[in-house]
Parts: sequence; C-alpha cells; structure tokens
Amino acid sequence: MKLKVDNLQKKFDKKVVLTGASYTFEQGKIYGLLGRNGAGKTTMFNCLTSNLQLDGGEVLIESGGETRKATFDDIGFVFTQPHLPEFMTGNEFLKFFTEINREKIAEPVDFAAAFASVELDEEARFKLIKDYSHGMQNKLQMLAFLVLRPPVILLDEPLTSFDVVAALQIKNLIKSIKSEHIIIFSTHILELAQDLCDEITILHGGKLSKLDIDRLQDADFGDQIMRILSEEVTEETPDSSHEPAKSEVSP
Amino acid sequence: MKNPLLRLIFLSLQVRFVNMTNRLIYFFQKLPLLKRLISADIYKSQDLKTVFLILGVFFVVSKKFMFFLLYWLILLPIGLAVSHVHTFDDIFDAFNPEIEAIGTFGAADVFGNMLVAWFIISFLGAAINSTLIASEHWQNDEVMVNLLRVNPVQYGKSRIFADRASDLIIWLPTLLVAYFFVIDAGFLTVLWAAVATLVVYTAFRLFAEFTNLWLFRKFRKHLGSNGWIAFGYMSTFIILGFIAPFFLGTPDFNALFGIFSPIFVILAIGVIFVLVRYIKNYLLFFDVFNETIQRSRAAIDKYYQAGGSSGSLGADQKSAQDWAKKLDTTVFHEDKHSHKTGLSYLNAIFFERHRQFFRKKMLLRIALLVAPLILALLTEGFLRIFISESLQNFFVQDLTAAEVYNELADLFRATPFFFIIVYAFSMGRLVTGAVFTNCDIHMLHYPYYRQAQVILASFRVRMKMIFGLNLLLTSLLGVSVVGILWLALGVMNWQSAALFFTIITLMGLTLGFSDLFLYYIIQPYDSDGKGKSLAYNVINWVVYMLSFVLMQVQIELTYFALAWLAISVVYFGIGTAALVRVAPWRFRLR
Repeated sequence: MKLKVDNLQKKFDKKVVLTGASYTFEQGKIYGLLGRNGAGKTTMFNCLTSNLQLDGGEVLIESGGETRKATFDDIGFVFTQPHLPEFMTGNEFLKFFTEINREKIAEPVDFAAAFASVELDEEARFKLIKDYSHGMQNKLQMLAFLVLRPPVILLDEPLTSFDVVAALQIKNLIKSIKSEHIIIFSTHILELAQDLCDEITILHGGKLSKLDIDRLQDADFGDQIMRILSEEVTEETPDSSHEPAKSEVSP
Repeated sequence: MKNPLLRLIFLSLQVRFVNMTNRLIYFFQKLPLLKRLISADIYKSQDLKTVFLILGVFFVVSKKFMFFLLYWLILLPIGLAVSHVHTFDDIFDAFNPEIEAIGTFGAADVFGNMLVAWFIISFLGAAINSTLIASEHWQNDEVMVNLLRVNPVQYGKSRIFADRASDLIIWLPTLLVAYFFVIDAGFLTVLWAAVATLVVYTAFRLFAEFTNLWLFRKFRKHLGSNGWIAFGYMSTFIILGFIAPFFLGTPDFNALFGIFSPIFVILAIGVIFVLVRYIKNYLLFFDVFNETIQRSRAAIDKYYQAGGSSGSLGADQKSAQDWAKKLDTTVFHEDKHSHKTGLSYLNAIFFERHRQFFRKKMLLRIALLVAPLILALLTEGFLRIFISESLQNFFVQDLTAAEVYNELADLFRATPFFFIIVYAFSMGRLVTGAVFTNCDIHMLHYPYYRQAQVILASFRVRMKMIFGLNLLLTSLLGVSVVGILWLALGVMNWQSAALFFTIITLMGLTLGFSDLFLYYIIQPYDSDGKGKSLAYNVINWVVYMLSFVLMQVQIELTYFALAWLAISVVYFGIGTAALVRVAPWRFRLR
C-alpha cells in the first residue's frame, strides 16, 4: 500500500504554504517529516485529513494494484495537543469512538486490553479526561487510532511534552505498528528522527523532498539538515519531489 | 528630534496610532463584504499609517476638547442651581453678558460657581487622576516599556509632562470664555487670569503626580492601587465639588483677583520647579508602570472571566467552561448510558455531566417566570384575608362582564409581545454555547464529526433536549400569564388561554430550533472558544428588531397562531434542508 501526494497546493491569502508538494509514502515505514517552523507541516497534515481544503493536487491511496482518492477514513491524525472531550472518561470516549467507526473496525474491541496496550491503568480508564495528564491524553488519542487502524497515521510532533518513560513507550508503540501502516510524523528533533525513522522527508519551500537514507546515521546529519533547510527557495530550484524514489537531496 | 522626552512622546503617539490603525484594519477585514477587498498587504502601508497618525492626533485633541466640554456641561447644573435658576428663560438670561443680574444671579454667578466646583474636583481632587496611575493607555505603556524597552524613566517623565502641556493648551480657551463672563475687565486681564489659573492648576496636578509617586516609593502602593480607595477618594471630591458651591456662595472674582496676583503665581511656579525636579529624579517609573499594567490586566481578565467579552453568549460559554473544570474528580465505573450508541451516547453523557449546570440555569429562569404568579397569589391572599378585597376590585371593579371579556380579548391580542420574553428565556443559545465550549471544540478536529449524518444525528439529540427545556419554560410562562389574568380579571376565556399556550409553546420550539440551526449553519464561535461572528451578531440584531416590532403588534389570536404555525413549518422545512446541504462545510472550527 502506498500514499501518494501529488502536486499539493495550499495558500492562506497571499501566503503560499504548499507549492506542488509531491511524494510517495510506503507501508511498513516510519517517515519523519522535517521542516522549519511555519514550513507547513501541520498544514499539510490538515490537508491530508481534509481539515483544510487543498487549493490543488491530489491525495491518493494505492492498494492492491488500484489507485483511488484517499478519504478521511484512510488517514488518522494524532494532534500535538490532544483534542478530547474532557467531560467523558477514557472508556466512554473509546466506546463512542468505536461505535462511530464500527463499520471500519474489523474485530470487537477488548477495552481492558486496549487500555493496557498503551499502559493506561484501570483507574485511568474510568477517570474523566479532564484529569488526564498530557501524556495520558496523547496515549488515549493514539489508542483511538490503534483501534481504528487507518492505513495512514499522521503524528504531529508526537513526543512534545512527554516525560522520558512515556516518550519511550510511544516510540515502542509506533515501531510495533509500523508494519501494517504508513506512519508519518512531523518533528524538528533531529535525534528523534534519526532514532525512529526509516526515511526522512523534508518540507521546504512548499515542496517535499527525500533525504538519502544512507545519510540518516551520519555524524554530520544535523549539519546536512541545517544546510538544506537554510537554502533560499528560488523559482529555479528544480522540483526534485516529483520523483521521490530517485531524487535525493545533496548535502 | 534630539530631545529624548519629545522623541518618546512622538514614539508613544506613533505606537498608539499604529495600534489603532491595525485594529481598524483588522475589524474591517472581518466584515463579510470588505474582507475580500482588503488584503493583508495593507498592514505594510506606511502612507495609511501616516494618514491615521494625523487623523489620530486630531482625534485625540478633539476628544480632549469634547471631554472638557462635557466636563463643563456636567458642572453647569451646579452653577445654575446655586445661582437660583427657576425658569427656562432664566437659563438664557444667565448667559447674556448684557444682563448683569436677574434677580439674584447672572452669568458671572453661574460660571463662578462652576469654577468653584472645578477647583474642588480637579485641583484638590487631582491626586486620583495622576497620569500614570489612572492610565487609560496602559496597553500602550506595556508596548513601550515591556516590548520596545524604552527607558522607563524617560518615558514616565515624558508622559507626565506631555499630559500637563496638553492640559495647558486645551484648558486655555475654555477658561478664557469662563473668565470673560466672571471678570469684569479687559481682555489682557482675562488672559492673565486664565494663564494664572492654569499655572496654579499645573502646580496642583504636579503635586498630585508627586503624591502618588511618593506614596509608591514609600509603600509600593498609591491612591489608585486599591479600587475602593480610589473610588472613595474620587467620590468624596466629586460630592464636595457639587455641594460646596451651595455653601460657599458665588465668589466675586474681581475681589478675588488678588489670588491671581503675580506673587501668588510666582509661588506656584516655584512649587512647579520643585515638583518637576522631584519627578525628573524619580527612578521607580518602571515599577509604577508595571504595577499599573498588572492591575489593569487583572481587571480585564476578571471582566473576560465574567463573560464580558461577548455579552450573554460569552457569559454562557464561560460559565459552561467553569462548570466543566469543576466536574468532580471521580471514577465513573457505572455507565448509565451504555445502552445508547454513537451520537446519542455522546450527547447523553454530555447532558448528564452538565445536568447541574443546566439545572441551575433553568432554576433561575423558572423563578423569574413563576415569581409574578406567586406574587399575584400572595397579594390576592393578603387582600382577601386582611382587607376582604381582591385583585379584581383593583382592576375591573367598574367594568361590566362584557367589558371584562373585551379587556381579556385585548390582552390576548397582545400575544406577539411575548416573543421577546420567550426569546430571552430560550435555552437554545445556552445549550449551543455549552456544547461548543465543552464538546464540539474538540470533536470538530475529527473529520468524521463533520459528516452530514453525524451532524443530523447530533442535531436531533440536541434538538430534543432544547425542545424539552423550552417546553417546560413556555408552559410555566403560559401558566403564569393565564393565572395572573384570571386573578386580575376574575374571568377567563379558556379557549383563548389554550391558544395562547399553544402559540408561546410553538414560539419556544421555533426559537429553540432556530438557535441550534444557526449554530450549525453559522458556527459563531472561533477555535479558541471566544467571540462570535458578525453574521451571528447581525442575526441577533434582526431578531431584537423583530421583537421590538412584535411588541407593538395587536392581532387576533387565531390569526397569529395560524401565521406562526405557517412560519414555523416553513422555517423547519427550509432549515432542515439547509442543514443537510450546508452544515457539513459550514460546521467546522473557524
């Protein structure tokens, strides 16, 4: 299965955010989306999930030899700041979520096991979400998508404000589910990208480009990224993102 | 501009007017028709900002003139009252310089008394109105001191001296006019009196500045630090200013001219020099500014917390938000709504957890609706028991039975009047405010929540809740009105009563539907849960205008019932169709 984003265009008034961003993401990989503040990472995620309307371009899912337009059912978005109804308990929210999406969930959900899988204990399960810590809310948010299992999971700066233990738990969780999903997470923590990702995608100047996978563990990886993200965007800059499989960003 | 104080004054004015300009641009950008025409590039336009700077200076000066004019108009009644104005003509005669005295007063007396009041309020009471503590421009000060990091000492001095200088410029013409009436002398004398007054005024105002700065140095507080002290101080001098002229009588300014003798003025100048020196050497301006900024910011926060930003809608949102924070930290093992699914489940839990919140709001409404009936019953009981009378004896004693029935019919013809009452009491806006603030603001981040079937399902559940609440309220309103009429008139046309009941119930249902429909179609809240859209404001304004019109309408009950039924059916139909088509792309976070 693949997620193809083709020539994405998005602007807000005169501010152009995406100018023909194209890329192909493959199942079984964890992609790290790197970009500067304001580059458009969250905007791109919102466009992929139809929270924002694209000005141009397509988002396609290729599966079993067929290509179709991606719908919001195909893509789960885990927000940096969890958006959960605080008047509900964790258990109630998961129950509601599974019922709303019952047609997409293959097997009945064992709630106790589900909560245990993200290390939310029995007491937390029946507590109001308003009393959850930030880490617990993030886990609940992730749990909802683990239950739903959309083909594509987007994580927007997933480990912000996590303590060391929670961060490690989430990283292990992401690694454990990658084989069945396309996982893309945005970050500007280079070490996290190096640690977790199979591939690095760079969003710069409104376009997506791939970093040579072999350079991921280079000692000067950080310097490379800095150089790339510091490059001025010009009209003449070749659009390397249309052939992501072949193009590589030279340091 | 080499002088640092002048440079800071100019910079402060620039900041203030740029801020004002940007806010105006932002406001116009939000208007539905204009926002497409005004691009964000306009913020870069220096020419526009220069134009606004010039207009702003003109506006500030005009505002100060208008303020002073208003101040004098407020003092005018004192002058007139003390001068024994008895008739309308007396007022005009008082300002006729050819008439020296009418009876016991003349123009000189009026202005003279006004000047006495002004002296007490603005000279003696000036301490509460010093430049930095009564700062109406605290936000500007925050920008200058905390953001632009100007030298706070220089800035503080520049503010004080600029205010005093502007007072001198703006009070002078006003005083020239006043003294023209009260001083029987030539122009130069009048001019000297005005200038001398302003010198003395400046000395008093600088003394006020000094008092507060000194208090702050000693106690880290000043007269404005505590709201009650400030209010008490200000009120004392205002009251004294209004009362004193009655006791002091009209001063003879010609006799008092000695007060404006050069010696007295030189003394005042000396005091000014001493005070200016103190202010120039004062080093705690940064702390004074911060105190004012923090105090003002706390007051603003308190105002917004009380829902002041968006009127009653903001208040409902805020109270719903506060309620959510107070939800018990408890473990909810039992799931009372486990038999429900999907949106029914979500909304059932929402209303369950907010039950006390809605109950509190309902109780208030119920109390207001039922109180008149209870009062009428108690009055009837009291009259019957203690006076052997009844309410009927007060209202319809001299009327025949036919006349009473006509009276009743007339009262029922005024049924459209109740539209405003039903609108005010409708729970629709409260429910939408609460559901947005505590539920939808989160759930709208998920695309599935914006699907047509989800919106409709949620709409149905919430509609039922609003219908139920409004039905209770309109029932109580109906009972209350019919009960009071029956007590007052002694008779009742039960057919009309039933029709009245039906109409207001229908009003409640229609308005409830309307509140929820508009919520889904317009979605008036922005993503941080504050504010409401211009379109929503306009619609509310239209509804208020409609209420006002309906208050004047008298119509046969049957015709009104039919008309309202027809309107409701059409509205429900169009609304439901629009909901399906429009809500999925309108009902999202702004």
